[in-house]
Amino acid sequence: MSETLLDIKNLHVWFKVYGGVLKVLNGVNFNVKIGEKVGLVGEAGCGKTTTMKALLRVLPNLALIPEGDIFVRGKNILKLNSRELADLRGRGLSMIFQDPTSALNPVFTIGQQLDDIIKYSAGSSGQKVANKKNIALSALHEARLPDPERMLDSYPIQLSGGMRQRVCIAFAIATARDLLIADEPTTNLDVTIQDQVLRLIKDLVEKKGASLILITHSLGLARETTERVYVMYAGNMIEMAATSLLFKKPFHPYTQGLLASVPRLSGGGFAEGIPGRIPNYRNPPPGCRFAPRCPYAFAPCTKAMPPLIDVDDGHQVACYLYQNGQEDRRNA
Amino acid sequence: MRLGPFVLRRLAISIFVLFGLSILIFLIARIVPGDPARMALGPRAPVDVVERLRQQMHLDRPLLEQYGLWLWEVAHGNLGDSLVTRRPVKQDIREFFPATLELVGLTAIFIIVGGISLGVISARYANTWFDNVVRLFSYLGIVTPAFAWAVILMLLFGFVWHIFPTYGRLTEGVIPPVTITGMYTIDSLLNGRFDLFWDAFMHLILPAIALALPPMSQAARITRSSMADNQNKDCIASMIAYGVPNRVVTGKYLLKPSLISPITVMALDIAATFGYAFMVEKIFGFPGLARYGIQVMLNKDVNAIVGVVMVLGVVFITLNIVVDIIVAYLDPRIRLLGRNV
Amino acid sequence: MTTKGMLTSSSLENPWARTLDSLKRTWYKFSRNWLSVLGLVMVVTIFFLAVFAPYVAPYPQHSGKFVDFKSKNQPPSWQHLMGTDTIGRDILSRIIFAFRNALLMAIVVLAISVPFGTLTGLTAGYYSGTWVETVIMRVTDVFISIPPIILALSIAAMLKPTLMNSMIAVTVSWWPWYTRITYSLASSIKNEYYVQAAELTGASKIYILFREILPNCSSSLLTKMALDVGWVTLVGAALSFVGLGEQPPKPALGTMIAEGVERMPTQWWIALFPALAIMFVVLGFNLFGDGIRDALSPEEA
Repeated sequence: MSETLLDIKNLHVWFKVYGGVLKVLNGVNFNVKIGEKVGLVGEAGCGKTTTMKALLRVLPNLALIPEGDIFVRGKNILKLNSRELADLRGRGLSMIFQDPTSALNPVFTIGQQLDDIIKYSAGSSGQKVANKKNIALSALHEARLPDPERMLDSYPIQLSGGMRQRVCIAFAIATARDLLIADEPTTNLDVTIQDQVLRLIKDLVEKKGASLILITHSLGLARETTERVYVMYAGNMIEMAATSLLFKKPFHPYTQGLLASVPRLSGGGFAEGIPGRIPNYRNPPPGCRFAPRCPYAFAPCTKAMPPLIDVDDGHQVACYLYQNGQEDRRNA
Repeated sequence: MRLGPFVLRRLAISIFVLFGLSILIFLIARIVPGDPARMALGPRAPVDVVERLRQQMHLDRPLLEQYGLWLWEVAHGNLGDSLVTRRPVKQDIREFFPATLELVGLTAIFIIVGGISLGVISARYANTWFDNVVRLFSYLGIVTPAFAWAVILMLLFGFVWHIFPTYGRLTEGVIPPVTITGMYTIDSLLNGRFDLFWDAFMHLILPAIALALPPMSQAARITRSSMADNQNKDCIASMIAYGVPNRVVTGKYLLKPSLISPITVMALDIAATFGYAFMVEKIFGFPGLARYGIQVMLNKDVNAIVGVVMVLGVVFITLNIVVDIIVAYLDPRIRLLGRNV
Repeated sequence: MTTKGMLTSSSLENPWARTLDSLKRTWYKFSRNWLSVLGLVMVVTIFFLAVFAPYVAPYPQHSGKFVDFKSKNQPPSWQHLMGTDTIGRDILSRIIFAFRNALLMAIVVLAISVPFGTLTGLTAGYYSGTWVETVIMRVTDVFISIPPIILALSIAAMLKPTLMNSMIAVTVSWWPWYTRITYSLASSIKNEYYVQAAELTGASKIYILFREILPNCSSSLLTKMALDVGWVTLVGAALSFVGLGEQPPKPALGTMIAEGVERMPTQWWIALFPALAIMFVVLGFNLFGDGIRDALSPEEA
C-alpha cells in the first residue's frame, strides 16, 4: 500500500511521581500511512493523549522516554535537535486538543495567533508568506465561522466552545498539514455541534490528502470517521484492525467488552460494561495488564505481556487466547 | 479595546477606597491614643495649653463633626502644623517627599527590569546552572529584609570597596541644585549640572539596591514559576506543534500571560518599599520622607503622622490604578468581563 | 499500595491506616526537597532556642539590665561568639532571648488574625453577591490599600511603645490579608459541585462553611501561616528598629540592629549578627512553608 507517514516503535513513557515512576506507556507500536484515517480508542487514562504528546514532543517535564522510537517520514524525531524539530513541526503536524478553551491563548486575538502560525508554517525561519491575512480569512471561512473579519479581532473568551473548536480547526486548515491529530475533538461540545465539527475535520483531511489520527473513547465516532482502528488499554496497543473488520469481529476480550458496553437504541436492555478499572501504573500487573479484569484469563496471562500478532488479514491482537502454540507454553 | 469604561470604574472604586482610608486614618489618629492633644504635648504640659490644642483640633466636638471638619481641611490640602518642626506638615512633606520618591523610583526600575529579565532568562534556561544560581540567589534575596541588605551593603562598600558613597543624598559640602521638583537627579539634569546628577545618582545606588533586592528576587521567582505553569498549557503545546519557533513562543505567547501575576505582586512590593524605606533611609542617613516619618512617630506628632500616611495612601492607590490598567491592557479577560475589579 | 494498585478494603475501612498512609505520603512529598527539611531543622532550632533560652544562652543575665563597660565593643571571640555590644552584653545571648519575643509576637498575631480573617473571608466568599460580601470586602480593601508595614507603624506610633502594643498594631494590619485569600478561595470553591450537592441535600450553612469549604482552603492557609511567621518577625523587627516595639534593656532584633548601625562600619558585628538572625528566621520559615506547600499540593500528572 502507500508510504508510511508515522511509525511509533516500542514506545515507553514514564512519569516520575510519589513513590517511584508511573509506567504509563509500555511498548506502544503504532503506524499511520499517508492519507489514512486512523482511530485510537480506549478508556480515559489509558495513555492515548500521552502517546500523542510524546509524538509532538510536548510532554511535561516530569515525563521521560526510556525506550522507543518515533519515525516521521523515516526521521526519528526523538533524536532531532530543537531547530530540526521546529522545521518538521511547521510542515508536518497539527493537533486539535480536547479542550478548545485551553488550546487557545487567552491573551492574544485569534488573528494574532493565526498570523504567527501561518508565518512559521513554511519553516522556522519565518519566511515571508504572502497574503497572510487572506489565508487566515479563508481558513476561518472554511471552518464555517461566521464573520471572519470580526473573528480575527476577537479574543477566545468572546467565543463559544463550538466556535473555539472551529478556530482550532481553522488553525489546521490555514497550514498545509501531513497529519492532523484530533484528541477527543468533540467531547467538550454540545451534541448538536459535535457532528458538524467532526464532519469539518473529515472534510479537511480528505481535501488536503492528509492523514488523521482520531483519539476517542467513543467507538461510534471511530466507526463513522476512520478506516483503521487501534485499541489501547493501560499503555498497550491490544488490538488493531480495519474499522469494518474490528466492529464485525473483535478478538480481544477488552474490545469485546467495549463493544458490548455501547448502549443500543434497539434491542433493549442496558449495556454490560466491563467490571473493574484500569490498573495503577505504579505497580502494573506483570503480565497482560488486562488480566485482572479479563473473564478468560489463564496462567500465561499473569506472566508476560502478550505480543501483538496477526490473527487475520491485517488484524492484529495481543492476547494469549489466539497465540499459536499456547498449549506448549502451558505445558512447559 | 474598551479600556475607557474599565478605567472609569476603577477610578470610582479608588475614590471610595481613599475615602475609606481617610476614615481609617482618622480613627487611628483620634481614637487609638485616647487623648491626642495630651499625647502630643506630653504628660507635663499645663492643662490650659492642652485645652487650647484640644480646641484647635476640634476635639471638643462630636466625633462625626470632628471627622467632617478634618476631612474639609485635608481636602483643601491643609494637614495642620507639625508639633516637632513647628511648620505646616504640608511644607515638611513637600521638602522630604521628593527624596523618597526619587529613591523608590530608582528602586522600582531595579525591581521591574531586574525581576522580569532574571525570571524570563531563568525560565528559558530552566534547570540549567544559570537557573539554579538565579533561584538560589532569589531565595536569599527574598528572605533577607531590606535593612539587613542595607547593613551588609554598607559594610561592603563603606569598609571594603569604596565605590559608592554610603551616606546622605549628596557629598558633604556640595550645594544642591536649584529646586524644581525636589528630586536632585532630575533637578540637576534640568539645570544642566551633570556632575551633580552623577553625585546624586551615586548616592541613590546603595539604598536603592538594598530596597530592591527582596522584591526583585520575589518578582524573578514569580515570573519564573508563572512561566513554568503556563509552559505546560495546551495553547503553548499547540503553538510549538505548529512549528512556531521557541524564541517566539517564549518571548510572546508565554511571556504575556505570564507577566500578569508578577506585575500585580511587584506593585504591592513597590508600595511596601515606602515602608522599608523608613529603615533603609535611616541606615544610609538619607534625608527622605521615611526618616521624617520615624521622627514624627517617635514624637507622637499626630498631624504629621496622619499627613505622611495620607500622602502614602494616595501614592499607593494611584499605583494600584496604574497597575490595574496595565493588567487590564495585558489581559482581555479582565478588560472585557470586568473580573477581578 | 497493593499489587493491583487499588485501595484494598482493609485500608478503606481502617481510618488509622489511611491517616498513616496520608501522613507518610505528605512526609514523602515534604522531604523530597532537601531544602524543606533544612527549613524544618531551622524552625525546630529557633523554637528550641526560644523555649530553652535561659539554659542555652551563654550569658542569660545579659538579656536584661546588665552593664559591663570593661568588656564593651569586643569583636567575636571564643568568649563571645558574636562579640559584645556598646555596654558589654553578649550579642549571641541577646539574640537567643530576642527569638522568644519574635516568636511570641508571630504566634499572637497569627492566633488572632488567622481565625478572624478566615471567618470574615469565608462569610464574604460564601455570600458573594450580597451586601455581606460588599461590606466585608470593601472594609478589607481599605485596610490593604496601604502595605501592612506602614499601617502597623502608624498604629504603633499612636500607642505606647511596648511589645504588646506592637503586637496589636501588626495584628490590625495583618488580618485583612487572610480575609482576602480565604475570600478568593471560598468564592471559587462555593461553585464546586460537591458544595452545590451539599446545599441540595439540605446541609446547614455552618456545615457547608466549615466542613465543605474550609477544609479545601486549609492547605493554602497553612502554607501562608508558615511563611507568615517569618514575615511577622520581619515587621516586628522593623517596628523595634524604629523604636516602637520592645523597649531596652529587653532584647529585640530590630533595636539591636538600630544600635549597631550607629557603630558601622568599625564595630560591624553589633548590627550584622542580629541582621543575620532575622535572615535565619525568615529563611527557615520560608523553606518550611514552601515544603508545606509542596507536601499539601495535589500530585501533578
